[in-house]
Amino acid sequence: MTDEQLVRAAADGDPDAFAAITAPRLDRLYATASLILRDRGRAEDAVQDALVRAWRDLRSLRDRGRFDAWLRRLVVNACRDQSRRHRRHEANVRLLPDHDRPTADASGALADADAIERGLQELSTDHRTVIVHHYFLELSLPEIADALGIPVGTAKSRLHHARLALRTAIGQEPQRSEGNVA
Amino acid sequence: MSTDQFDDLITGHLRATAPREAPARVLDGALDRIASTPQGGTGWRLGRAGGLLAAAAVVILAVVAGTQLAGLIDGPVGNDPSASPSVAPTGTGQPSPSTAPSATPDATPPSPVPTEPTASGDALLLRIVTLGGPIDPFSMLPGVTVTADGTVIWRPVSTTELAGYLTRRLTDDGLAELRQIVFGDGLLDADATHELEPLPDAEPPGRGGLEHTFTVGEGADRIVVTSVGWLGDDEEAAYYEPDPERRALDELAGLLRDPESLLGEEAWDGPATAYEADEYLLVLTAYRNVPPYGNPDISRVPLPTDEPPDEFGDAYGGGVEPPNARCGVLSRDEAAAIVAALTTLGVDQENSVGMDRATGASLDWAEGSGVVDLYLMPRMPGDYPGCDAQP
Repeated sequence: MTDEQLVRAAADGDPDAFAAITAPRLDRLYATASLILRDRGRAEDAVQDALVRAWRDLRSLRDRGRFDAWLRRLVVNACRDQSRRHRRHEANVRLLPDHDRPTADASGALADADAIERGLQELSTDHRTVIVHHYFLELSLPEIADALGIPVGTAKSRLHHARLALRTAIGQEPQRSEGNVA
Repeated sequence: MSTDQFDDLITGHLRATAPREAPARVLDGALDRIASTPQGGTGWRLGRAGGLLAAAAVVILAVVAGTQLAGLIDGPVGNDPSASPSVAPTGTGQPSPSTAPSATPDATPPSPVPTEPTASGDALLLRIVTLGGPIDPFSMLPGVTVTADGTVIWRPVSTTELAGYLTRRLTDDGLAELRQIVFGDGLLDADATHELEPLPDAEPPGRGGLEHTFTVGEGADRIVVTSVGWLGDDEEAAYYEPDPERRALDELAGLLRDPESLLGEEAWDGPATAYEADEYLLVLTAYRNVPPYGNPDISRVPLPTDEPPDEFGDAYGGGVEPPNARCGVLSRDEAAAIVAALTTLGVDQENSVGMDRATGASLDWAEGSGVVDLYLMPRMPGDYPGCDAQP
């Protein structure tokens, strides 16, 4: 069966077709959610929530060719929900000064990785989502806007701010000594 | 560090830290849950947002659309003698009787006297809205609007950003030439829908498509013709029934995106100027209790209301899509105050703020512990666009 036929069958209530259409996409969706949330446990929950919602709302997907983009958007929305829930239940964490941490250096992979990771952690979920779509999924700005359901200008703005924040995080590491992590 | 080095660094980091495989329990757990999850009906898409529904049925990237249109206009505008009107896909690949014009274009040579509804002054003569990609309030803005007195308002095609609208007046001869191009072949004589008809057993790849909505005239005489175009371009013939009328409408929409090139300099009376409207449509999409963008707060933007953003004006699109969007019509002065504030706040980083263009901004909303997406757009003749979100 083609993907479109599988989607149609799943929309008609066939769980096997639903499994067949979602299984090949699962690794990519899970990787995306993990990168957005920076937490594999919550990424599992987000992907699972998105799949359940996809099953529930599949009949509303008029253009079956849009299944991939639609499913990706559901995962992103589920990530946002996870992020909100997490934020409500998590106390603010103050990052302590860490003067022993090596200075960021383009040639120092470990320092870079550490700085990038900290930079990613400090981004808002929306900004991190745009970064993941741009750098990991390699989507263009219009594609990102399409995937997230936002205007192209907003996608541009978010990417601009996210890149700036990451650059700052990398450049200023380890001077940044405190902040809130949500 | 150069931009390339930075980009490589981020890409490499994300790839290195992304999990390779999803645990089996993710899918297993989802399948367990769906066993007790009923599937919904047709959902909101079949509700009052009919126009948005049509838009969602075609896959488009708005910017890609502009690029692809260029590839669609390399042929002459006109009708193949074998043209056969079509309606929505039936899934059988068999053309169905049309709701389109009853007279076939090949039977009636192009008329020297255009048959479009008569109108005078600044009444709407033609509007073309091309939908695709992210369906947001800006999607409803037309590519071109023509009034009966020969005023043309259009947004130059840009693949990089939303360009501002231009307006220019046609001479009488120029208007007559445009009427001949638009109405001469009879494709816009009556309400019609032209969609893609898959060939038998064809499995078209997901290249995406466009939907053009041609609106001719106003009121009771209004005619609406929609035409779906596919972005697969040269591959189209391999997957879809030939439909010269649909193809011609695609080409017409593409040609009219650049009316100055289409008609030549002698067709115009005076230079093009930036279009500024008498009225503007403001749409606010507010989200409470979500993380802020880190952008300026909406309290610093002079909205023409004392209500919170999520109670402003009327529900946009009948309150269906997006569910929390609010909408109102602003005077030119009210719009100018918003544009000035956004400019002062430094929101205009991508030429996305101005009286002649779709102005968009993502703003924080401290009072609602959330964010607001702001869409401000100039209205065109015919009181378009409106809060009903119909193309």
